[in-house]
Amino acid sequence: MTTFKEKKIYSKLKQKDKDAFIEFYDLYVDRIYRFVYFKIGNKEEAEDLVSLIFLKTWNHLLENKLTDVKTLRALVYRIARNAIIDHYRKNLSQNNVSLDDNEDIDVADLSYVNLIRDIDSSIDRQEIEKRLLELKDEYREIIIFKFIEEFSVSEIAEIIGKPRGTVRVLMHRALKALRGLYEEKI
Amino acid sequence: MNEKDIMLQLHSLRNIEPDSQWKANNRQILLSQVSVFEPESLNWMEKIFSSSFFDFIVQPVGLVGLILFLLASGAGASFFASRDTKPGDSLYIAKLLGERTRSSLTFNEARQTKLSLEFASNRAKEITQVLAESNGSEEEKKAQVDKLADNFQDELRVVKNKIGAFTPTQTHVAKHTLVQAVSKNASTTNKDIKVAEKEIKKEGDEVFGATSGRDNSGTQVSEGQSDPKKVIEEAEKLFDKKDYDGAANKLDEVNELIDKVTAQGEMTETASTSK
Repeated sequence: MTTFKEKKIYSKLKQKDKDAFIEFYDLYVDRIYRFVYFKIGNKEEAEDLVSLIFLKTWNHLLENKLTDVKTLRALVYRIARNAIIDHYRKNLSQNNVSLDDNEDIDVADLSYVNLIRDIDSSIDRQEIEKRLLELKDEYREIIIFKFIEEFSVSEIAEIIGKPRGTVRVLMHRALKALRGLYEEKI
Repeated sequence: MNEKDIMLQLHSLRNIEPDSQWKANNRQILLSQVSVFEPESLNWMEKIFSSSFFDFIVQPVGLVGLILFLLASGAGASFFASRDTKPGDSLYIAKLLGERTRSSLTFNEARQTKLSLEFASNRAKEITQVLAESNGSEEEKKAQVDKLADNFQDELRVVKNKIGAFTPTQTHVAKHTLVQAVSKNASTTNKDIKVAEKEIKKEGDEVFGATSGRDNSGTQVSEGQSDPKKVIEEAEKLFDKKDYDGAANKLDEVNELIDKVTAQGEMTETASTSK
């Protein structure tokens, strides 16, 4: 649920308050980083993309009156999703892979798998990260929003631009798919 | 692995964070980039509508005010529409609810008594309406009349309990006459007031005539038609004789008497405070 602090920052951002924007960065940088990191699977690329996302958010604030989104959260995640899609297109076009079939659009990056060894985490956590990468992009996104970042159904619906009923169905399917991945490995 | 375990592992992924050095550097870069921007000055209306004050105070307060206004106007509309309804009509419940609301929002004793009188009068009039109704069986009508009669008695009981405070006493009359005496002469002194007080005692007897009892303790003076309690008793007798319209008229008379007495009381209060 959007906190009072976020609402206050959002209100100040409507007046293009620079200090409020830096506050917003402090509040969201970890989350946006995690979101991008789990989506693209590369630490350095995630860092670059996060910088770009915040700059794009600032530009959006300058050019628009913030009437198209109800919350700050929805705004920044929409920009993040679009930035990731652009990133995919750029990478895939460089690798000559078709975008038409989005079933397995995000293949696990081996550098990401290696990177996990550098992270201080349990074997279980490594396991879940691997499984997450193997999921369909749509499902992975829902898993990140709902079970990692703990957004509400309404918030997720606003971010991805789909009805709440659809979000609930996706949640159910995503969890089922993830469980299925575990059972396959046994 | 069950769903609960998967959830726990997913939650643990929240511990993943960006490198702190990178975070700090990125913050500086971002700060320098946004500092270049100079915001355009907003006109006074834009400032108001984009301010936190508007978002957090004006909008919510305005919304609550609008809701209250709609509720009040809806309640007011149904109140006026329901005024002449009787048991069995669709808006009758709105009438009863309106009466309860008015009663609960009234704290002044005199006004509460007047409201109870009004409600009792309404019950009497509704009985007349029910009996005049051609639809419905005799049994249904009797049941409705009995219920209305019970409500009538309940309201009158409330009135009788409270009416003692508004019965004109010798003190009330004396004060009223004193005020009138003093107001005749703008330059009245204390000496003049004492002289007037002596005259009042004499006048008090004359106002209430032969039936008045001079009771120095200032208790109730029983006086013909001006005694609300007497009028209430007459209303009850008429009600028992099934003269419901007559009973309602008597109660309306009591209401007028209370108005007179409270007006006198206000006048004496004003005079005593101004001196």
